[in-house]
Amino acid sequence: MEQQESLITTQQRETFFITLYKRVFPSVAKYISRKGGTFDDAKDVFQDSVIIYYEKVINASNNCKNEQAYLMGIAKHLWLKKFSNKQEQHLDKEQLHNFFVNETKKPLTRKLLYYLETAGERCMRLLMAFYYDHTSLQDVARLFGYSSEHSAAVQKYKCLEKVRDTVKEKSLHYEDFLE
Amino acid sequence: MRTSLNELLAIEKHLLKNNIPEKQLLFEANLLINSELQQKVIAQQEAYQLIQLYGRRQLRAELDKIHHTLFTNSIHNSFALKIKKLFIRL
Repeated sequence: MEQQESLITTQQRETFFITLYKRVFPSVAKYISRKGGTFDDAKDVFQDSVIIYYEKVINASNNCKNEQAYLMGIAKHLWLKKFSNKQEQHLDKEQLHNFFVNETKKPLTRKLLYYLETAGERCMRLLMAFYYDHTSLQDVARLFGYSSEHSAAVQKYKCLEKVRDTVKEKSLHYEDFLE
Repeated sequence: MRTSLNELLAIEKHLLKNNIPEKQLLFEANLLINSELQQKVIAQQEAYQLIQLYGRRQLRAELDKIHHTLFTNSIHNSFALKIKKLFIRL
């Protein structure tokens, strides 16, 4: 896969994820089914695997040679890790996402995320493009309509400052009764 | 950029380990004696974690949308049936 250039927009990612779904989901579903899992288990395991895979390829300078084998490997690992005792316990959807360290377990993190999602969506989108998707400054300027890379960089730091100050402010506000 | 943004950038370089050794040393020395800076570093670290969580949530939302399309839109009927068949328990 020609990484970076091909996954900049939501549409490009959509095409990429549909291809992955068509190519790899049948194998993951077959595996999960054989292990006694449900359709929803397969969906969750597959999506978690894709997120891990996406973070790997977006960070890496070299491309993954065999994405099907890689994704299957992650899916099997996730299944074995999370559902090896499934016969003894009812499937807890929360468990599935536990492999994501810090995944909204703390009440304060949940509240902060909710606040930022609703109060500063554009900033969060911009920061996501930089820090999560690793989109280049040039592409971010183009996607978000800034006149120059410098303007985009300044806006990025203003947004980061806003998030950081929100963390500081809300942490002080909530810490008395939350943790 | 204004001073506060320069400070933000300095903290970023420290956290992402993008500093040259001399500057890193200077920053760390300053960090030891400046409690306000310490708080900003902690909050900025948390901010990066929140951005990562936000990114994952957005990505999951994109995947959920695709999943919904693949299993409800008739264009993808044969694909959906092939998968669903795997989970029919007799």
